[in-house]
Amino acid sequence: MFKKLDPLLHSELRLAIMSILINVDEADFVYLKAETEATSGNLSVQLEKLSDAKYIEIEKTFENKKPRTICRITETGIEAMEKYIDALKDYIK
Amino acid sequence: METNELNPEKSLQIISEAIRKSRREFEKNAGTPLIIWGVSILLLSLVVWFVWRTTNNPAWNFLWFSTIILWIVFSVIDKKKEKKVKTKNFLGEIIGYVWISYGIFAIGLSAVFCVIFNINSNLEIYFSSVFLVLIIGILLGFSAMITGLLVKNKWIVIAGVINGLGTPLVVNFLSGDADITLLISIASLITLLIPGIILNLQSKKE
Repeated sequence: MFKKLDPLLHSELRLAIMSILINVDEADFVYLKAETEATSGNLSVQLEKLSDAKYIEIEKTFENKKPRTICRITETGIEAMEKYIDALKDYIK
Repeated sequence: METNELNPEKSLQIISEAIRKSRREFEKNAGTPLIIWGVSILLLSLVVWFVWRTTNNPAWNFLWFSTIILWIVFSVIDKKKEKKVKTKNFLGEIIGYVWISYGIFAIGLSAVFCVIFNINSNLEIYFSSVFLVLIIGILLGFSAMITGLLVKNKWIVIAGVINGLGTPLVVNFLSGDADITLLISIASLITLLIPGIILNLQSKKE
């Protein structure tokens, strides 16, 4: 019996965001946008969804009077990614 | 990139691509701090060697404490750059901690030796300089080896081992005069400058 894949992570853009964030301390919106090649609107919506699920935390700051959004993965997010990868292994076997 | 549903293979591809990109991002110009420090220490050691040799006064070794000023200057520049960096990497942070620890021990030990030398006037300058260069050389090799292991670069690991184990061997043949400073010049070449150039060339190739 296959383990159920977390529907929140089982989407191309959200998984890409989480995969980037699990490898770094923090990443800002500009970096995530460039790496995922997503549109600003779509990226904002998906970040909100991940933040609502407490998978990531979003910090909004200002730098040289320009707004800057910094994202970090949370403990809950790391656990969710671990479970997701565990479940993936079942499918690959 | 869209929010499409995935198959397991595609999921794995996304995850491994993110890991690869994160590593590439870290390796971009990772060698630059090593090059900057390598050149600085190399020049400083040559200056100390020259003035100590021409004046025959070991007090010129106090010039080494100017590395504290260099450290402050580089930290300020680094802080300014950090604000522009779009991502922070764990690996970069760990390597930073390794070299901060090295800096604290190298400068701290030099200060401790100055105090000991002042208190105990019977202590030979030979003992002070040789012993200090020995410890600093070993610490430098140790820090370079850890850096090499973390960035998975065998040349930096080898450079660290050569420096760490080579210092006690070479120190044995040197007297405690100005020439001992040249050992620091060679160490900065082996453990900082050359590995920094290798790292930057490697990241450019990729």
